[in-house]
Amino acid sequence: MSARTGGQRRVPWYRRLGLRLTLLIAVTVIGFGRLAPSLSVSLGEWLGVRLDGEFLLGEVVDGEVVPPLFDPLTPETRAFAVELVAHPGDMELTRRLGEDLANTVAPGGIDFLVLSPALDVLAATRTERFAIGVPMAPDPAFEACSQYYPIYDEGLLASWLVLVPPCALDGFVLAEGADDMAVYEGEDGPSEPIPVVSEAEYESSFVRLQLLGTLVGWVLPLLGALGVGLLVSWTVTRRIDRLCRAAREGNVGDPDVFRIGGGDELATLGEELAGSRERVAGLVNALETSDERRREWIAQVSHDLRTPLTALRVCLSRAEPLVASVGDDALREELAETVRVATGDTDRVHTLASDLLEVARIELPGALRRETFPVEELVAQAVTGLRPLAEASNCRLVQEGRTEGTQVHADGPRLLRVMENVLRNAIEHASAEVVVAVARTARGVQVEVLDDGPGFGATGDRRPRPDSAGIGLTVVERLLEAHGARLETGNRAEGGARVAFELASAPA
Amino acid sequence: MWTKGYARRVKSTTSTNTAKILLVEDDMRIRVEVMGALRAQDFEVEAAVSLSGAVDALDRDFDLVLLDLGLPDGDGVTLCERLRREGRGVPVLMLTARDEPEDRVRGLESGADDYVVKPFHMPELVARVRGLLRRSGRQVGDDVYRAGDLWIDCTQHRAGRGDAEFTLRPREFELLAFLMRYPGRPWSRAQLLDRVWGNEFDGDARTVDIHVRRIRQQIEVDASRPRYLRTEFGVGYRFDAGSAEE
Repeated sequence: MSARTGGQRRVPWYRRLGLRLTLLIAVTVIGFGRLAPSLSVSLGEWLGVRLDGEFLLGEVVDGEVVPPLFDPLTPETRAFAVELVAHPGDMELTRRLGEDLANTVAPGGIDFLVLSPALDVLAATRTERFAIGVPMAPDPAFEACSQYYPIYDEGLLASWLVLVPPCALDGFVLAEGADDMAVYEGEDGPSEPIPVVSEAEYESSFVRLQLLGTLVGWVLPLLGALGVGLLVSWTVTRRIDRLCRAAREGNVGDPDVFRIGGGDELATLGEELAGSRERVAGLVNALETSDERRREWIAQVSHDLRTPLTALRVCLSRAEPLVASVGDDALREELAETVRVATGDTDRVHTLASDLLEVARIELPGALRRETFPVEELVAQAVTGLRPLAEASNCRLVQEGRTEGTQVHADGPRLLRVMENVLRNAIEHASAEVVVAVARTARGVQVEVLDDGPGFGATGDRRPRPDSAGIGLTVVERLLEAHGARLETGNRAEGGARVAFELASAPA
Repeated sequence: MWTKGYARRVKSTTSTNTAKILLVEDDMRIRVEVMGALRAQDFEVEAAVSLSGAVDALDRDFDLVLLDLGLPDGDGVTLCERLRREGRGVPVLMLTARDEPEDRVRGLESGADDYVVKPFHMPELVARVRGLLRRSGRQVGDDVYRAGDLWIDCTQHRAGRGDAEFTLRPREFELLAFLMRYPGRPWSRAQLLDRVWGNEFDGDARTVDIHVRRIRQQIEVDASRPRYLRTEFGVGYRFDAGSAEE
């Protein structure tokens, strides 16, 4: 009934994971490549706006992100810087250093350059994105000059260069222990007061900048791509899972479980599966109809055969007393023999017809109706039923052995037929005795029927009457097969036939 | 002339019968023969050849109905159900085919009391009719039932064989008491579940099998070859009161 072992097989977890991982990685990698630059810029801008433009952002050049953080000191620039140190206050040199820096850092045009010893450079390259600041180094020369007017002070020098936060664009003075605000003297008079940033503050903002740069440039796009990857792989595998589940659990009569929608290849696959299931359902339907017809046909034939046979037997039993009343001894004997033969043949035809129908019936689904009973009870009932036949054949019918109450879970009427057929066959061929022996085995119980007749021929077949004897054992074989048992036939060493089979005991 | 001989032969073992039997059988030969055999036993037999004929005939009272299941205008089971629905307790003996145990189960569950399997021997049919009539005449509702040396006392909730008393669990006792109350009558497992366990229980047929096995271990001399609590293969169980009843 439930031979669906193939359908229950599940995909191993690692294979399911494999597909998911592949999809995830593929989508993440592609997504990251596509997503990271634009995401980092827009996200950075967004964050930048949020943070009041305090941080320096990267820039996209030809689809590539130019990291916001780098050391712009090429050997040439460094040489300028060294020269500048040697000639502090040389405005021309400072300007050249600034221009060269600008060209080195961003040949396409530097966004904003703050070269603190020469603020004039500032005017040349102010745009939005990059800012290069030259913070004041804690240099003795710097220390000696006025902290408040560092820009124009001749003693100033650029000891090192970094990219600075855009807050510097508004101007700041890096000075240890300086006041909060500074004012510098420009050519057009003193400047507006500008905030003074301590070195520690400057450093921390620099680290924050680095972190944010990493976050915006790498982590967030990666997370975003990972998220999209997860979504895609989940969406795809979820639908595949749905198809699998539909194939595994769905009812044959319900092909719609495969219609998962979506219009893609998976949806097409689902449609195809639904179509094939519809065809299977059609076939199953046709099979069921034909089984049903067969069942009806068997029932009809069975009824049509049995009714006249019953009538025939009733008529024959009526003839018995009639025969007994015949006065002529010879005639009475002859008639009695005729009636006896006719009765026997009627029974045989009935058995034959039943056997034929049984063979046709046993192949129908759900033919076996199991119940639990002691084997010995069934054997005893069969023996009791066939005792009249055995007596009529002058054959001793003996039941031997014990099974200590071993029960089987089997189709009782069909096993009874098995026993009756085997016994009838044995009685018909025995010369004086048929023994039915039952014995417990590891699996359940063994039933053995032994006779003292001529035994089986070379072909393992015995059909003294070619019209009937063969089918009896065929039916037995089929019925036992349906119970998962096998019929053993053979000859005993001491002569006679041995027919045996083993039945599994019922689960306790 | 032959009827007399046949009647004489069987009659020698029986007492007089005045029971009225309705035979519902569509096959003419079987009908004639069964009627002949039963009349030879001094039963009063009336025959119906169809379901509708049987329904008409059942306006009158009968002591027993012999019912063939396959009738030209319907199923004998429906007639049986109708009788029980109308609250008529007339015993019904079904004539069924050997090949279809499920028909027997269906018949029993529709309210039939027993069945005879076709093709039957006439003496067997007569014996069944006789047994069913005898059982139906008996008052059910006594407190003590006996079968051979088995006894069961429903008031005191005790049962035993001879002087030995059984130790049965409550449900086993109820099942045994129920079966002993209707000796000779076959019951399907579903019927037993319904009658003994009641509606609130939703067990399966195996439950009955397990209880039967436990009961057999106590009441039977040899539980492997039960003499009292017999399996009706393909149907269920029957309490066989043994030679004392038959």
